Parts: sequence; structure tokens; C-alpha cells
Amino acid sequence: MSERLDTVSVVEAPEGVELSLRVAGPSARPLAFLIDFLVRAAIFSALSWMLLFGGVGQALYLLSIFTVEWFYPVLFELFWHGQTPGKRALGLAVVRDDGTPVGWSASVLRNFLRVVDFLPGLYGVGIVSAGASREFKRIGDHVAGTVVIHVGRSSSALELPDVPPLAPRVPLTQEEQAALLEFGARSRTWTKARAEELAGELEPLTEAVGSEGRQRVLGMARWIEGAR
Amino acid sequence: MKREPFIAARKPRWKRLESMLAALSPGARAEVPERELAQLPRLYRQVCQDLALAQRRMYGRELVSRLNAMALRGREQLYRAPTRYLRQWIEFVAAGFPRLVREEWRLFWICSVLFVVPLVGVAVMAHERPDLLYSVLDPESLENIESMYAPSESLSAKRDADRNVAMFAFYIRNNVGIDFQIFASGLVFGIGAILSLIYNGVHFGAIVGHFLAIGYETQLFPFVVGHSSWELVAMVIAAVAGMRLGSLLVAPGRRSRARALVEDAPRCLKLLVGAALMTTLAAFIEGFWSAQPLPVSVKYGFGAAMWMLVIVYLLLGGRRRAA
Repeated sequence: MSERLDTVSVVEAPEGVELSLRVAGPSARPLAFLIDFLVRAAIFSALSWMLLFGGVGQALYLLSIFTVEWFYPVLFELFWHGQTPGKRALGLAVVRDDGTPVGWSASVLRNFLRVVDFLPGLYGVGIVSAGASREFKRIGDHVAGTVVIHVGRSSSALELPDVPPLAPRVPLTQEEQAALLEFGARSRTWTKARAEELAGELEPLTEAVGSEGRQRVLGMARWIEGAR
Repeated sequence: MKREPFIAARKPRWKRLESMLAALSPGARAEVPERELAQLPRLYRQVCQDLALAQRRMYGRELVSRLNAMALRGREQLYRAPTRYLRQWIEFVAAGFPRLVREEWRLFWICSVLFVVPLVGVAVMAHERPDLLYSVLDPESLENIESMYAPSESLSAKRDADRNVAMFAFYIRNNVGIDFQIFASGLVFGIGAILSLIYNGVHFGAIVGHFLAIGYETQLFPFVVGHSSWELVAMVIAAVAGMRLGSLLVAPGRRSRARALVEDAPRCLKLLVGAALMTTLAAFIEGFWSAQPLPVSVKYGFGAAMWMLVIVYLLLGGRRRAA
């Protein structure tokens, strides 16, 4: 498939199938980080009441701060299926390069090495490293062998729009059939005008433009799908 | 087979797997009965097969991506490594960690020298030429440390039980945090770890030299002797871990640098975890023992025993079963 064009990383599973990981890019990850930063700040201020309770309170406070400082992402990634609150909000998750879940050592490595990624300030090294890597890996990801991917967004319907099936006039190759199916599945995410414009490109096949052209492309998709 | 009948025939199966995966996901409350759960591997393999077919026959991105997501989630559930944490930890502390440290004996001695030489050098210098001291420590922090250990003020009087706990936590956050930082900065070709070692050596050396010069050592030494063994050796080991990490970039051997890092970084991390445990023990001693108002001889005796214990542990730990 079109993995060279897309930010998709393909791994081969022992079950004999290629799984594609949709690698998360440079817009989603900083946002997730920002959310986590705010969550952490909220935790810090929420814990400050402990300071009112003398030495033991202070001790608990310092230990909690220490834990949050170093282990906030680690604990979430381990017990929340690779997601910190920020990552979950944006539908991201950390997995190993082969798509299996991160373990202790991978998670600790990638998060402790934020110290290096943060250099010389504001994740300078991390941004350069991510930009130079096809899978947007910062240094910590390289060392731990992890990758941040998009997960979720699986609710969209499988059914094509309900239009009468229409047999194409000429036999279509597999790629062409796939393109028509793709059109059918995606058409509901476009405006009508956009769908008609795209369907207009297929005028030689449909012998129609505008609304009618769109209807015919969808009909052929239905026909390829098996509807009669 | 056409797309539609393909979907229709498999949909019940996918629905079952999807609901099972949803029930197994972190936020879910639902319980999956054991007999259902036993079906998971089979359902997962079937979805993998369906995915392969859908990819091959180009049934459309929508379907493929849905099956792909399902397969990934199934994989996540199935390939979660079963772990027996407690046993692993005991094994690691009793045998694995000292063995690892012994394997790195060369780096261990290099790091020790990088720490001890500046310490002794600066201590002697500060003792002989006290004026030079201020080029290392700024007067304010020196005054701070001085007042902490001034003979007129009994150290223990300032420390009640409550305060001990707070100091324990403070030491953990501070010292274990330093271990982590030394480790991570070591990735930069080991430079970070080397600089940290020298810096800490100079810092401690300056304090020791200064206290010797002004005659406060009767306060300082009994305080630090108890936890010094665990704390200093742990710092050196954290640096060893960082240096080893950096060395994977400098000299990866017959592998690519990326490969070397991915393969050996977990081993470096184990060293760091051991160092962090040692530092935690040191913080425990520092918080609850070091400030106790006990005779100096007891303090020194305890300190000597701790040094012996560290040496014996690292030299002999896990030896018998290694054979």
C-alpha cells in the first residue's frame, strides 16, 4: 500500500499479516505534552495541602512530587495501555516498534531520556531528532525502541451510502475497484460539492457530471461491493 | 468473495472480538468470563486473516483500518508479557545487580577515579589555601552549610522525628533525581556523566576541605559516615550506567548505533535502577540515623560496617549461582 506517501509504519505480525501503525506527527505530540504539563501542574498544586501537616506531610509531599516528576508518564503508559492523559485526549498511544505494548524498561528509558531531548531547552534536541526520523522519534524513542501512534477513530460505518448499484461499462482493474470503494467510504466525510467535483474526474467512466456523476460512482462502488 | 458478503459473514465474529477488547480496555468495568476469554487468541488470529484478505482484495481503507485497529488491540492484549514482579525484584537485588556491576568493573573504576581524584584534590587544596575555596563554592551556600554543622549547634537538636521523615523524602527526591540525571546525560557520549562526577567530586571536596580547615569536621564526619557508602557508590554506579549508555553511541561495535542502543539500553537501565535503590537506602539512613545523638564511636562503627557491607555485597552478591 501507499506507506511511502503516508506516515504509516508497517510491521509484520507473526500471524502472517502486515499491521500498519499510524505514526503520530509533530502537531499532536506537543499538544499532548501541553495537556500533560497542565495535568501535572494541577497535581502539584492539588498536593500542596500536604505541606500543612508538618514533617510527615512535607515528606509525603516531596515523595509525591518526586514520583510525579519522574514517573507520571511511566505509570500511565504502563497501566493505561500506553496513554498518558494528554495522549488519551488526542487519541495517541506509545507502543514498541513492532506494535506490542511498552514494558517497564522501554517506558522508563523513553521518559527518563526526556532530560536529553529537552536540551538545550524546550525540547530542542527532541524536535530535531523527531524531524530527522521517519517515525517522529525523539531520542528517548530511539533508545527505547518505541513509537507514538494514533489509536481509536474506529467508529465510522462500513456501509456505503444506499444508492442503487450500477455495473461499470468496462471491466475495472483491482486498483480501480479499490479507488471506487474508497470513494464510496469517504464520500460521507466530504461536502456534496467536493464529492461531485471529484466524481467529475471520472466522467469518461460515468458519462455524467455533477450530482448524477456522484450517484453513478457511488452506484458502481455498491456494485463492486457485491450489491445487485 | 465480494465485499458485502465478506463483511456480513464475519461481522458477528468482529463484534464479539470488539466487545471483548472493549471490556478489557483500561477504563472498562465489565468482566469477561474465562470461557469467553479463552476464545480471544482464536478470534484474534481470525481477524488477522480477515485483515490480510481485506488488504489483498482491496476491500477499502475503511474496512482495512477497522480490522487493523482491531488486530492491533488484540495484539496488545495477547502480547502483554506475563510478569512475576516480586520474584524478579528479589532476584535482581540479591544477585543480578551486583553481577552487573562486576561486569562493568572497568567503567566502575574509571568513574570512581573521576569522582575521588577531584574530591581529594580539592579537599587538600581547600585545606592548604582556603582562599581558593571561593572559586568553587559561593560564599552564601558555604555559610549555609557551615551553619548546618556548626559545633555550637547540636545537629540532633534541630531534628525531631517529624523532621527526619521530611529530610528522608527530601534526600530521596534530590539524590535519586541526581542519579537519574547523571544517567540520562550520559547518553551524550558519556560527557554528561563525566562532568557530573567531576562536579560532585569538586563540590564535596570543597566542603570537606573547608570543614577540616575551620575544625568543624567533628560535626560533619560522624553525620555523613553512616550513609556515605551507599550514597557515593550509588552515584558512581549511576554514572557507570550513563557512561555505558553513551558508549553505545561512541563504540557500538559491529552494529548500527540505533541497534546497539535498543539492544543494550535496558541493561544500562538495570544498573540505574540498582543505583537508585542504593540511593534510597542511603536517604533512609541519612534521614533516620545520621542525625541521631549517639556517641561518635558508634557512628564510626556503623559507618565502617556499612562500607564493609557495600563492598561485600557488590563483590560477592550472586556469585554462587553464577557458576
